[in-house]
Parts: sequence; structure tokens; C-alpha cells
Amino acid sequence: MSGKGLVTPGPTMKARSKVAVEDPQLQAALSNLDLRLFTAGVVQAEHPEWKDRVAEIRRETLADLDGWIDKLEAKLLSLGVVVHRAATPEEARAYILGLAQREGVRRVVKSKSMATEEIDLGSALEAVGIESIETDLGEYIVQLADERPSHMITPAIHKTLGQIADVLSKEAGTELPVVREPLTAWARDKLREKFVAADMGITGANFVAADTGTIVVVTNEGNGRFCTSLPRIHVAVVPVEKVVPRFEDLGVLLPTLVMSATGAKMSNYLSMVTGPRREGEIDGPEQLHVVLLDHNRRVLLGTPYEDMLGCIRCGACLNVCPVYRTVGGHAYDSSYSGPMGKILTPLVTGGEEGRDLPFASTLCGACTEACPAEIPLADLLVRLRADLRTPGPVVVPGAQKPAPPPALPVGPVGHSDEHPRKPGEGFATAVTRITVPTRRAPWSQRRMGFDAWSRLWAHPSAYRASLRVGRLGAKALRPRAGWVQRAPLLRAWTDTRDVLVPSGPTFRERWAARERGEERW
Amino acid sequence: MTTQGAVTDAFLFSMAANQCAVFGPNSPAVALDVIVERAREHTADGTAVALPIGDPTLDELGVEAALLAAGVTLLRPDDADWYSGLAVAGVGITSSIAAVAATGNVALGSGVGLPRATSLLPPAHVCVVRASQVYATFAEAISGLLHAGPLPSALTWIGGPSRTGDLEMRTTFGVHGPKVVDIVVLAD
Repeated sequence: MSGKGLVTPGPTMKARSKVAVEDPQLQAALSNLDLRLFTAGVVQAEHPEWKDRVAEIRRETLADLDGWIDKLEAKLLSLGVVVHRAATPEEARAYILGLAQREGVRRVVKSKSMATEEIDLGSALEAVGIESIETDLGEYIVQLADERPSHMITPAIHKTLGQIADVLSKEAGTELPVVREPLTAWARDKLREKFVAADMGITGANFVAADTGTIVVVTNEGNGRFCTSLPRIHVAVVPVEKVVPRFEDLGVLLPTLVMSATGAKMSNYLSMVTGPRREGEIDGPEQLHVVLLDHNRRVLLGTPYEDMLGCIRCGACLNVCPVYRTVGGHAYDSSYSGPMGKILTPLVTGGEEGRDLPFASTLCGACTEACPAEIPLADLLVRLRADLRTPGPVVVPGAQKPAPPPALPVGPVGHSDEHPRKPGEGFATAVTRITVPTRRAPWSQRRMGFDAWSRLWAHPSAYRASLRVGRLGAKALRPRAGWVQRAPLLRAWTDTRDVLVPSGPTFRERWAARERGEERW
Repeated sequence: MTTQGAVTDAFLFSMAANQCAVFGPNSPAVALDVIVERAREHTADGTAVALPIGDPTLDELGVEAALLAAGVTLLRPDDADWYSGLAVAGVGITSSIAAVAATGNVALGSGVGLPRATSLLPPAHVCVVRASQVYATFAEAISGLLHAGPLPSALTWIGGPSRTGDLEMRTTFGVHGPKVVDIVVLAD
């Protein structure tokens, strides 16, 4: 999930965060997030019933995900769509590269998609000499800067207008003004050339309806419309959890997604694609391919992490997160950032990446409050912290079947590479259990400290004595303005934590004094 | 009870808030005048008007004859140079198959003679909306379209002029799609 430049490099999230908070340009750019601070609450305020309905639809989907995938696949096939099941990013890339090479594709236009970021598709296309252009303005900017997007809705949020003008001016070969309208106008003309010349359009999907086979792409700019209308081949990369049972579910899912993402009542454009171009039509793709991507998702079904698959990628948890708002998206060094990224990254990479991310949280719960799909993000973070103490994947697949080889070349349009299937067949592994550490993690100083504390406070007299010692000790540590900021031998702990100096006598002491008649209250 | 009139008013308000120019609700004769007037304005520099073939609403109004009478250049999907012409056309005219008051958007269906690009490539888009097809909520419209028959291969929802929030989160218009959208509501 890496390979692209970060404005905040470093080996750990802690190191990257330090760079981020000391970068004045980044901090200025991130201050624009204030405009989205309250959008997460709009759904709750205006349509409180939507959240429950969205959560209900997502739970219903996940309860029989394999069944809905099969239903979707059958519908897509009947519409003349080519369906490919990819267990891994490698398989998804191999399928798309094979298709592009077989069809003689030289230019690809991409509409912003988290899934194609996850499988790093753009770099893979470029590596074999196929021009791949991001067409969402923000994505285009980060692509030109050779960076990765830092926010799933607003990819170039980490850049100030001045930095954006620099990036576009470099590409234009002339100095563009630091004004939004002319910058946008220049990008419009430049990208229009790319759209007209492209052989293949690649999109993600915000949702795919199983009953009608409809692929939904949400944009404000219209680039999604271009990518699904003009090129002769359209490929949609669809993580399996994007399936929704019914077209009618979109009636609540789409307004909730958009309102949670930007606070608007609806996005400017919605492209609902049901099959390729039909007989007699003069535009639309001649071939439509849907790549269903598993990548360690189905293995989460039936585990406590199943809820995470309910995510609709609105970005509300990023906008309200005090950590994200301080360090920005690049500090996470993953396609997915913010609270949802901290959870999804170690899960979908099988524990290979982002193991330190869940620990970079204050557990304040703002993300849980903001989530329109009612995902208990803070709870999942706590659980992940525990599960990540043992090395290896967080959730271990049971019966380890080897992944089926990528089916290349694909069959003719309208046929899956292998059909009919059993539920879930075609993806790598079956669902199973969650790893619970069977033995205790190695002793650490912190662990020993907590253990001793626990034993000490099991005795009432020791508990009372420790409070008195603590009170005297706190004063000895020279608190500043009532806060203890440092303690000898405990630097790792106190570097990021302050404690209030305990106030006067405890309740027990004051109660005893009252009983003795020494104090009245 | 909400009347259709109130729903139509709310729809016009939402579209205006989305930076569209809104006209109506109009009688067929007035709607036709508005369409011709808008088309002439968008093609004042000598560019062409892109007009679909077989659009039931536009055909019923007699848009083709009125535009020809007004002396504008028409570009049709069966013209050999449709695509190269569309790239430099001044405006595309379509009708919608549904519209929503609450969310402020219109739905366009693709089909034979109804290309997707008509409302996408030209810098201006004129969309004719039948008042009877305006739904109060998005959910009602989704449900209505599903039960109206098979979904078109491309069902495109449009809120107004193309826009982005990617530059410091401030809305900027005219990124990829039309920079101007005119909504003409037909009382029916």
C-alpha cells in the first residue's frame, strides 16, 4: 500500500506526526478542515432515522455477504458485464493489466477511488507503459506531485492554494495565478484532452446494487461521468463490501453518504451504470468489467471486526478526529487514514502494515459519534490494540486454501471466468476465528507497573496509604499550574501525559473527620 | 399534505441554490420560448445546439422545429461529426426522467438517440423537467424509477454546474462538466 511520496516521511506514525506538526504549510492547509468539522452532525440533526436504517442495511448485507455477491454476479452477467473475483491486490492488478494489454489500451483515465489506491493500480499501469491519469482535481494534483491522497474525500487537503498553484504551474510550463478559478480552468482544458483520448476508464464504486447490478459512482466534478461514458472499456474495482442488497437502499445510503461527507444534501453528480452500452446507443462503454476485490475482507465476517466492513467511506471520522486534524493523512502512511484507516489498514494488509496506527488515538470516541453507519470505531481500536500484541495477521483464516490462479485471459463479454460457483468460491480463504493471544505478551515495564499497581490497590490500607504518598509525591515533583508533567523513571509515560495534583484530603478522610465532629458539611 | 405545486416550488428553490438558472413552471408554449431563448444565448458565438433524437418531452414541445425556425445550428446524434461537433457545441438540451425537490437534482436516462455526452461535453446544459415528474425526496424518486421499468444503461443525476471542493475546501465551479445549467420546468 505504499510506494508514493509522503509530505511527512518517517518510519513510524509517531515520527511522521512529529514532522507533520512542525510543518507550517501543512498546518495552514489542515486548518481548512474546520469547514467540515460540523458536517458529521448534519445527518443526526436533520434525519436522525437515517443512521439506524443505514446500519441496518449494512448489517443485513454483511450477515450474508457471499450470498449477495453471488446474486450481484448473476445479475451483472445477465447484463453482459464481465465479472472477475480477485482475492488479492496482485490478482486484481494482473487482471486489469492483462485486459489493458490484450485490448491495446494506451491511455487510462481514472476517477477517484480508494480501492484502486489500495491496490496501487495507477503505478502498476505506468510500470507497463500505460498512461494513467487521475481526473478528480485533487487526485490529479497529488498525482502530479507524486504523492498519495491524504483524505478520502478531499485528496489534496494537505496542500495550500499556493502549493497547488506551484504543482499545476510546473505541469503547465507557465506560471499560473494563485487563484482558484484560473487553476480550475487550466485543469479542465488539460484533462478534457485526456478524457477524449482515453481507451479505458477506471472507477471504484460507492455502492453496487445486487438486484439491478447497478454501479454507483459519486462525484461533484463530472469526472466520474466522463470515465463511465467516453472510453470504450470501463473497469470498476469494487471491494466486496460495497454490495448493497437492493437498488432502493440507495434512497437512504446516498443522501447519508453525501451529507456525512460534505454536509451537502446531495453530490453534484451521481452516475448509476447498469450494464455496458446497449444496442443502438452511440456512447457508453462497449465493455464493462467489474473486479470484485476481497483482500482480507471476507475473513473478517463473523468476527468482531465485521462491523468495519459497514464503512461507507464518507470521511466523517477523519474530519472530527483530533489526531487526523493535527497530523493530516500522510502521517498514517496508508491509503486509508483517520480512525477508519487505523482499523482497516492492519486488517486488510493481514497485519503487515500500520501495526502502530491503532495506538495513535486518544480514544475520545468522536469518530464513533460521527459514523453514519454506527460502527463502534473506538471499541474496535481498543480491541485491535490487544490483538496486535501478538505478531502476524489480526484475523487468521482457517482452512488455508491456496488462492486460485488469476484467470487470464478472460472469457468473452458476459461470462464470468468461472461459473456457476459455490458461495464465496473464487476468493482466497474461508472465514474462521479471531486470534486470541494464548499466552501473555512478554513482560514489559509498563505491564509490570500495572501489575504491581493492581496488587497494591487490592489492599484497602495500601490503597489509602498510596493516596497520601501520591499527594505528597506530586508536590515534590514541582507541578506547573497544578499539573504534574514529569516523573523520574516514568518518562515514557509522562512524555505524553500530565496529571492534576491531587486536591486536599480524600473523601474518606473528610468523612472520618466529619464523623469525629472536626468538620461540618 | 404537500401538493405537487409546493414540491415543484421547493425543487426550483433547491436548483437555484445549486447555482442553476431556473424557469417555470411554464405552459408548453412559454417553456418552448424559454428553451429557444436560452439556446440562442448559449450559442450567440455561432456554436451549435446539441439536441437528442426521440426524446419524448422535447419532441412533444416541438423543440427541433422551433430551434430551426430561430436559425440556430443543430447537432444531432446521427450526424457523422457528432463527437467532434459536440466538443465545440455551445449547449446540450435534454429532458429529465425524474427530479427531486429535497436534494435538488434531476435524473437523465441514456438510450437510443439519447447519448450520455449531450449533457456532459458542452459548456452549457438546458434541462426540461416535467412538474409531474418531480418527487419530494430522493428515496421516492429512486423507488419511482425502479418501478417505472428497466433502468437505463446510464442513469445520470445532475445537481447543477460542475464543481469541486478540492482547492482549500472552497467551492469552485466548472471543473469537468457544464459551467452553466438551466432548468426549465414544464407545468403538466
